[in-house]
Amino acid sequence: MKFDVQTKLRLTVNGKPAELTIDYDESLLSVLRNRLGLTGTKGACLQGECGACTVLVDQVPTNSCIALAMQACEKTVETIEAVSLTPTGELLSKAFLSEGACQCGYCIPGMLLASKPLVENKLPVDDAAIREALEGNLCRCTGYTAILKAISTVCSD
Amino acid sequence: MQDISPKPLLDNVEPIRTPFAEVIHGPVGQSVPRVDALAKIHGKAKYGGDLIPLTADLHVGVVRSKFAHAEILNIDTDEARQVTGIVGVYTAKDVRGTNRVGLIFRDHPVLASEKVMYLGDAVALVVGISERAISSAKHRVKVGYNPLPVVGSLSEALAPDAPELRPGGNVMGGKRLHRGDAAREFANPDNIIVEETFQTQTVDHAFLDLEAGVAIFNGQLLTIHASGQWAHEDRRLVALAVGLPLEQVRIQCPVTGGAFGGREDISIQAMLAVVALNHPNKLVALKYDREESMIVRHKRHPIQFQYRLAATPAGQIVAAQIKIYSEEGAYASTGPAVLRKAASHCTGPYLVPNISCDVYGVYTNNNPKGAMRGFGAVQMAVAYEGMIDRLAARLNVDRLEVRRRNLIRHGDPVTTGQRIANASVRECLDAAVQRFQSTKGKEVRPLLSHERRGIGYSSICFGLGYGDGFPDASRARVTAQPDRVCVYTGAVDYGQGITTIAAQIAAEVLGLSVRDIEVVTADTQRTPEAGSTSASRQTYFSGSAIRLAASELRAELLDVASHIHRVHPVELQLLEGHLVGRFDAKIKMPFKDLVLQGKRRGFKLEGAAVFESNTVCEDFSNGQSPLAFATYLFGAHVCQVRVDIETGVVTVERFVACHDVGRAINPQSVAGQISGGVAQGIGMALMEEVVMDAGAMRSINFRDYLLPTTRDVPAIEAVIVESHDPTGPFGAHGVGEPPVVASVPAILSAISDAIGKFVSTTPCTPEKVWKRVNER
Amino acid sequence: MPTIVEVASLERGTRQVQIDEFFKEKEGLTSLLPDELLTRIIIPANWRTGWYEIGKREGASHSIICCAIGISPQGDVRIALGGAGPSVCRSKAAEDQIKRDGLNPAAIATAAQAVITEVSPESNLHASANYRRAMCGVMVKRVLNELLDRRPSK
Repeated sequence: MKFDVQTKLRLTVNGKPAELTIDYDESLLSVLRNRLGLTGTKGACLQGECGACTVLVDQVPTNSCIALAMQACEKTVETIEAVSLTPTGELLSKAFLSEGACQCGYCIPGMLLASKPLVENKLPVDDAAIREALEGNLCRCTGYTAILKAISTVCSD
Repeated sequence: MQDISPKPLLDNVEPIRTPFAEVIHGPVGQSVPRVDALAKIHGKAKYGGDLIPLTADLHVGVVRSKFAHAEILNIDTDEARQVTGIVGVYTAKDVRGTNRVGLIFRDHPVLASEKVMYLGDAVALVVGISERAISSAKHRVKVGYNPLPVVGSLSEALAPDAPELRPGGNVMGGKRLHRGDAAREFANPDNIIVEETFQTQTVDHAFLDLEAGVAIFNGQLLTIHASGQWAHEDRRLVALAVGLPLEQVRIQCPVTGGAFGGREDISIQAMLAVVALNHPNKLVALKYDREESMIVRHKRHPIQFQYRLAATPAGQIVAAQIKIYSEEGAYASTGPAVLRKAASHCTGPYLVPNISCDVYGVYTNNNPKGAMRGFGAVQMAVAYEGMIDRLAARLNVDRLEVRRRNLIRHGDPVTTGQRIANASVRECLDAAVQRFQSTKGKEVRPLLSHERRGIGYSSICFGLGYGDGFPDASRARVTAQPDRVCVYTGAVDYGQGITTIAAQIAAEVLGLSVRDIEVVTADTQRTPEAGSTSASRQTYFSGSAIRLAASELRAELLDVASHIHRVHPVELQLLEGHLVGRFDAKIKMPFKDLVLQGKRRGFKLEGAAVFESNTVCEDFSNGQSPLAFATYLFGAHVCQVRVDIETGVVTVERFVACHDVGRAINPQSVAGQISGGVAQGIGMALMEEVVMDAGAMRSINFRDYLLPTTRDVPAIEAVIVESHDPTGPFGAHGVGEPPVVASVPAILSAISDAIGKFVSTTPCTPEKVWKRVNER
Repeated sequence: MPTIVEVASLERGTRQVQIDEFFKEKEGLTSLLPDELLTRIIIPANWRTGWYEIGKREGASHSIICCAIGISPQGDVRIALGGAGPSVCRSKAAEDQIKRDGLNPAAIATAAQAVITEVSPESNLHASANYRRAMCGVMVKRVLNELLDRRPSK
């Protein structure tokens, strides 16, 4: 197959347009962390199983570890660095803090990004719906109890 | 009735008020939000892997063994060195120190040179300017092996013709615990005897924050930024392994994303050291991916228990006979301590006058087995709690009733013979059952025809700290500046919350708020040694040390104040950011003014303290000790499961977990530890398993090593009992590990209750439960 | 169901493949070429469908075994199983049973029995072949019963 080892990528990250030269098979996670230094997005399983690397691609929660960076070409990508400053991000941050949802904290940026659309949908959600929306985000510390409580608090406000 | 009280000589005398009784005014006991949480939530906190992007000069890749057991004949690094971007390849001969690490025995080579004992053994390090370069060079290091027969399991290791993994054979060692005359009780025909064999599986810590870090050597000092659970021990091990004097090594733990015992053994630190020493003034980086992390790291011991219990027909336990076989893997790691922990907890929180317990640890060519949250005690509880349920079934008596008949009471001895002044296990069990019943029926859907429901119970004890006479201490330093107070502790915050606990304790002593306290953790250059962050010991040990150090600082401050206000220091106190008079309301001075005054008068305004426990070594022949552990923790769980008997699928519907934490310094953190511990218990009880096949791991990622998700863990109902441990800070002791210990047997108990048959192995996968349901 | 899979390649653009040609049941492979990505799956909207999966956990994971069944308005039936062989496979015997006798309790019981004898699953670290085989019967029974309960009223 005739692929160049490197290729150009244009996308918008956290509201800023970026143009980068990347490896053709590079993951979105690697571009965000290693080329843009946005280390708020975490890698943990590196196989799309744990959700720690969740970012929003055109508003859709996406596992950036298994997304090719090229899949985000010409799209908008939002990471925790920007989302935490949005009104929803601030509400969720506050709730995570006050409910004690953040222990080691490694999964939390991903949790926050995965729950943002749920909060912004403004649809009534019950416990089961929140659990389903977050089932792709693993946490090894909290047993989820406080995380789910925090999200449900924000959803019901 | 005759009045025997003495006639008063004086009436209506006011008792003298003693204003020095400890009153908690400040943040201790409050659910103060974690002081380090917001930076983590916002993605600003720097974990080990976050130190690499855009900063690392050189990347390190590790060449691992191709065989689970082999002799190394030769290592040819020439081809790897030719790869573009590669600046160095290192093997054992480049390591100038002992090239050995290991927490108990120094038996694990940093880079193997003669033999490889499992697939995680490191053989060479490739160093390059990019990750792409090192991944291509790794495959070009040519290692000649002479493959040796692989010992893949405990039974293979104990077979008569088993290959010898060590000169002395495959048995690492043992532990013996004997008390009374168990044989006599088992020979007594009046006694009821129940027997069972239990088997637990290999479990992985599966913390999310993969092993990663950076190091730099400036010609004088080697600085390593990598997460561990005991910075000072990591420094000792690195210094010995690479041949540097201790003072030339600095270990600093970055923000740490979970540990659960998985960072007790050294991981990347010594390898980073080897490379950094060879490339001075370059920031060298090493990180594992999930597969490497799974394949290399030590695991929770899989243990087989052969358990016999003797009881009177009235249900009083009189004797226990236990044989324990623990698979240790390729290196000793924390194994000897795990054996001892299993033995010292072999009859749990029950009064058993006659005990005979023999424990054996056996080497294989699997991953080393070492520390994981509740080590030894978690596996042991599966057995002793399983036996209580079986005894209840045999006697046809309620499971709770059998527990209540046999649980220790205040002053009774536990397994080690140590007498427990405050045995709060009954209180925990009652509180858990009460909570479970008070919310019964909530959110429970009716059963379908192929479903059964069951309730499970557990009650456990857990010895805090190292115990067994092992030196166990923590040191802390507290300094006052006009704008802030700094607490220095060698403890690691890997998510359990010691940073916040430290701030709360210092703030409490100094009459400040948590915002006024800065906590510096786990840095060999800046913080004093705290011992390992393990064994549920940091709130107790470092909490105590911080409290003592802060008290020393307070005493100095009050001395300063006594000069200013011309009253005796005991008439002064620190409260709400001020110095105030106990009896004179006019005395009031802001804390920072007091500090300024003190500094001006030449006071150092610094407190330092060490908190030690002096446990007594367990007798070599019988495992008995009057003070085996610094203190004991108790807990009890009640859970409810639903079992689909056609498929074997188990759903945990409800979970109540009650723990005596002495005092909850931060109730929200305690509840978080309980909930998280139970979730790990659910994982171990139902789904998690490291599957090995002749030394090769078949569950190398989160696709095959399954962790509980939001849909597998119900809302955990945490119940906190506070019995005020006089030996701990503000009455606190610990809670890190007991929630895992109690949860696994509670779930097995509930499954057994649901299907009407006992389960005795973990994990209870759908297939295993289905098979058990269909067994005749 | 007459499902169509759309695959795309940078050099040749997109092509559509019938689902039966996409999966190579015996080899445990698909007909996807090395430079192709699966981009779309087109499913007929008027079939009644149901599915079931059994895994080690409730939360999303690669199931030990799973089953999907579709019934067309004309009574055509497709019974597909994942984890019951080297690749996704169909149980023709169970399909024939329902096609012949319609959806009723007796036919469901026979179909569930038929699937057990027809499949040849493999053992792996998550479950044995025996368990998978037995579960094929349980799943087919459950999904067909669910479809029976959800029958459109005449």
